Amino acid sequence: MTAEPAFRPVRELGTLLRSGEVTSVGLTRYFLDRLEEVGRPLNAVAAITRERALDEAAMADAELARGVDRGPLHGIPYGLKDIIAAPGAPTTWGAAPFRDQVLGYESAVGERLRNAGAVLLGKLATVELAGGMGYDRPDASLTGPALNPWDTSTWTGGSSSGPAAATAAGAVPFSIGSDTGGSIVMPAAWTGITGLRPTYGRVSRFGAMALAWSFDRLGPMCRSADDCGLVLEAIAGLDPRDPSSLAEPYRYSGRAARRDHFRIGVVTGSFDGVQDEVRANFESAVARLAELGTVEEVELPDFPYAEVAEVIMAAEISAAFDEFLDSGRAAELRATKARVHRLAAEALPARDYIRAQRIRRHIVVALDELACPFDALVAPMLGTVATPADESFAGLLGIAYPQRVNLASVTAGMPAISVPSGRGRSGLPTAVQLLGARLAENALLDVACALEACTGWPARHPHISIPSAQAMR
Amino acid sequence: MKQMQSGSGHNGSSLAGAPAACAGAAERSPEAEIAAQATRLIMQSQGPVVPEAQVAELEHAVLALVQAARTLRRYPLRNSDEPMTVNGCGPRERA
Repeated sequence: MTAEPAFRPVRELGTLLRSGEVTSVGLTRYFLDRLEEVGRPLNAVAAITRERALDEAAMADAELARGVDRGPLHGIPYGLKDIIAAPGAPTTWGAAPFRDQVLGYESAVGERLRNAGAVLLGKLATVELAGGMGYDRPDASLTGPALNPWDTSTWTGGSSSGPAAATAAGAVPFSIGSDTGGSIVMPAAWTGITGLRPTYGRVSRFGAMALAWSFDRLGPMCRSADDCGLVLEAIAGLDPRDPSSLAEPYRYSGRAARRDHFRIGVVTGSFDGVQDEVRANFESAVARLAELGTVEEVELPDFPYAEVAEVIMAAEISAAFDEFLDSGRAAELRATKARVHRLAAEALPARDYIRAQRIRRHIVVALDELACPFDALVAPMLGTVATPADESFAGLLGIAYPQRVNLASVTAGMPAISVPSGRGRSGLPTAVQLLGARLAENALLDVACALEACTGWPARHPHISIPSAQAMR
Repeated sequence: MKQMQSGSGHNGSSLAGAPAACAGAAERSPEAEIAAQATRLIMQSQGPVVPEAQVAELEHAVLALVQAARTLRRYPLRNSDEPMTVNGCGPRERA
């Protein structure tokens, strides 16, 4: 191969493939090696599907040779978060009690990506049970704490920790994560990649572990917003096997989309409690957006977002795992907190769950009305940069106002995208979150692409210093 | 539901060390009292799966949930306000 492909965007890899400079088999071998040499030491890898990957890559090459082109993901390797089923590999959900679980069927996203010609490299690490049982330490995963490629003494955030680490480290061109309460956008923010949580129902969850049915979403984790759009187009769409999936088709607006004349709403108070560098980078991002359109302040409607989310998630998660909780096997989980935390839902009357869902309807309507006039609402994504990999992060994530903004969009089913905004303390990435009205992913992606063009961030990548095996335990 | 094993040691005294009980029963908030009672009930059904050392953690989680639910009960709703369904956060279920 003539060019180092590790950090190249999907479109460029596609150009290299179609020009004959590289083959899909060559790319696949390269990224399989990156996963072994870079991904594993970062604790980002759950399983590598080498044989399947090379078969799919050979098929992609053969099709291109015959003039069959399945689109922008044809021949491009990727990784799946290990809460998503794939034949030929265990699906451990990142948790010791499920370490031998084999689900012998393809997930909906796996099917769609295969139909788009993409090549599955393997399963990427996750916080155990996607963090749904509660955790407050980075090592709450079967594979250990996922290390942040920008500074391997820090962690990636969770729960899509493996997809974040592997994508940021150039060990996969893109990955698929899952998000119930921030599990795509938060690790994307801390690892300097772009993570898209699509509208609830946009992407089928068939084959993915159920955590909280009315919150769970799957979405792309990439090194640019443009890549996110390409991947979302491939994985979106109606699926009768997931009753939440929407019939509305999705087509990415792509490069032809507008890059200015945006209307942006800045969420007031959104940098309350954040680190100085996070605030400075946020203000810089807003200044850039002001050059691309109009910027005005908006106020988040006053709802008990955190309480609504907590009550509904507690009820749904404990229901999804009721047999597991009754079995006592939660004692095998790494996070001490996870062993009993969800048993608390037994104290939750049904009427409180229903009340939360009744309030939620008001939230959905109010936030849709708030977001509809704008191309994007903007706030910092997280109040801090990544925290140490060997320390508890208890209390750090929830204290700052950005988490309230995140929970509002989580509860309302709105799309959100985390976009890098610069580097903060210790040179670690910071990010902004862009929120949109439901089904308005293209407006969000347009704004995100324009912002990335201003910052030049997608061209930046970490210079990875892999710690010794001893240090990574 | 599992029954509590006899002699498992999960009893009122273990709950006395829980965070909500630290200030003493007389100073407990109504939510803390509910959480303590609820934790006892959970222990009766789930006792064998809750290690002694984690009873306080469980009571802490119950208290947080009780407080969240109580906060929601203060939010005004009309009789006609319907809940979203489990799969109903999509646009087809707009109010």
